[in-house]
Amino acid sequence: MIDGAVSLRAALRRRPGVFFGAAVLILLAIAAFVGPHLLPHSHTQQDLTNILGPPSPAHPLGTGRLGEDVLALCLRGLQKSLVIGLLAAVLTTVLAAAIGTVAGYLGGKTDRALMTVVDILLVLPPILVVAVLSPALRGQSWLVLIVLISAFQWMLTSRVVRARARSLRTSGFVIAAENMGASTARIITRHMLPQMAPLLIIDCTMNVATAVLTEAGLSYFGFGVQPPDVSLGTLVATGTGSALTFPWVFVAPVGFLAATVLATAVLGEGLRDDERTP
Amino acid sequence: MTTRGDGRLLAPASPTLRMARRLGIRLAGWAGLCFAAVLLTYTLASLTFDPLADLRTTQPPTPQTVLDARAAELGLDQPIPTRFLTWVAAVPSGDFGVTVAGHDISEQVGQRAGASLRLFLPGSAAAVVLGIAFGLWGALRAGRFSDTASMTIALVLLAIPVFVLGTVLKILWLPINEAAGTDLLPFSGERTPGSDLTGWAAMTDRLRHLILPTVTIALPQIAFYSRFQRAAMLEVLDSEFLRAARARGLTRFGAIRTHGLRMALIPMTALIAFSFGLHLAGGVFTERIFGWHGLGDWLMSAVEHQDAMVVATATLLMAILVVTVGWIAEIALAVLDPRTRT
Repeated sequence: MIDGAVSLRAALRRRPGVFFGAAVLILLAIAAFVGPHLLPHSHTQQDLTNILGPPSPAHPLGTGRLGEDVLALCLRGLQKSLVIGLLAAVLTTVLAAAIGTVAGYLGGKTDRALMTVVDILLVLPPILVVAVLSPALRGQSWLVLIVLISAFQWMLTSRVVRARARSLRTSGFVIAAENMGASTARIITRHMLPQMAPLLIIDCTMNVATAVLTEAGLSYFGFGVQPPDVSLGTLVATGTGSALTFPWVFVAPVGFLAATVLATAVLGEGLRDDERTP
Repeated sequence: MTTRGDGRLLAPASPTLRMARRLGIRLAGWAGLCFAAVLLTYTLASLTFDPLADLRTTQPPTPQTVLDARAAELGLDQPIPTRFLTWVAAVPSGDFGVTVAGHDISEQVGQRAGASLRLFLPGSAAAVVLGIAFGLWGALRAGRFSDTASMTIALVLLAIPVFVLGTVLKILWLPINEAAGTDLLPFSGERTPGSDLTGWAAMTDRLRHLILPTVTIALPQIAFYSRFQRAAMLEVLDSEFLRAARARGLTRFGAIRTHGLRMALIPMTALIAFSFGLHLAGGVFTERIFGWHGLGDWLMSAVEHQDAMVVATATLLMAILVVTVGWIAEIALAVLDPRTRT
């Protein structure tokens, strides 16, 4: 117990980024999922006597174009952005881990084929490919958006995983498992992936930031989350037009978006530094 | 003399021939990469786009014969592979097909590609140079306040989406434009529309239009490259070979100049090559925000108009740009690291 507290304090001093990032993310998550229930207004409730009103005690972040409470809108958007970012990052990392380990462990033709796919997908910005696919998204649930974001975001992580798998391929425990007749699937899932767990966790964290930004970008263009659903991206997009005249409808979602991405990036970098210098 | 796998001796080819052969293989590889990328987007676009959607939802309903005629006109009655091959076969002769509205695509290619290049190349080149400079400077001052501050700014810049950055830059600059009474740095387009400026005046007009979008494109890239360069340089500063150089009596800066710098720059070439495609996305947002009719803007409006051929053309031009940057990065690597020259 005391040991735990001591090491926690020591770790806090050594890597403030990890704790700062994690704390901000937890706060944002609580705000996004618990906050809406505590607010007096829902994000769809329109106060038509107070359209585009400045921040006031009743509406701490002002009201939007239809008199909606901007704070409620932002929390609702934050919820969607967090869920999409998190799920897309997990799916991305799973894809990257599967493809990277298979390519790195099997080598040869499989490796060449998979890495060619990576090269092809890296030629174009993922956001553009998803934008091209967006007409298929109309009327679909936002879960499809998660699949699409992941399908075009796994390449960089898979390269890192592949490099690690190649170096693990000749290590003693893998050769021992091979000699005992373990199957390829078993070697990859039971022997290689656990060795890469820290790397995968760090990359997954970084992928959350990327996925949140991708979603925001797609929604900004109108290709992502579709109305009446809101995400931080759609809120920034609608706020951009009034950024000068009614700054709160722009600044509030931008603040939430930047805070989310920044906290995730700080957390990811802190974890990576920790992994490098044990 | 080199031996092949089967042990036969090969006559040594002349260096020029060897280089030509190698270059040929590389070119074929890059062409294949562009082809595959275009095939991917064309197929995806053809599968998801429905250019007849507007006709189908009219009231009263459009007769089926009209729909069929329109589909035949757009080539939609052909299977996708046939359509793609027809399109690809015409591309080498400079024919990129027609838009759904019936305009010749090749007429726009030059203007669109030109706008993107004028916007993207200066911004990215400046970003690479400045990013490397800031990264090196940060590594040499690691731990000091200026280093911490610049790295924090870089992290914040990376957390802000490009479309927000562009808008914020506009807002920050607006008071200066207003104070000047005229648009000192205009917010929209490549040049003042309707103006018949020539020579020097036209140049400065274009330059004034270029500054804000260039800053928007460059800032996130500077942040991105500087963080990597700083990490790479820190690793070099901690290396054995630099310590050995110091032990031979070189000064700190002497050792870094003659031995360290080259090693710190090597990983950057790979980074620039594979991240350029990702930075292109920032260019798309910038084009949209500042009203530049470049490739990104073209692609986005093609998605809105459900136009697969325009998507394919814009993708092809972007792919060529990315592959070219990859090639430049490879040359830079060969210059920096003689071990990779073959």
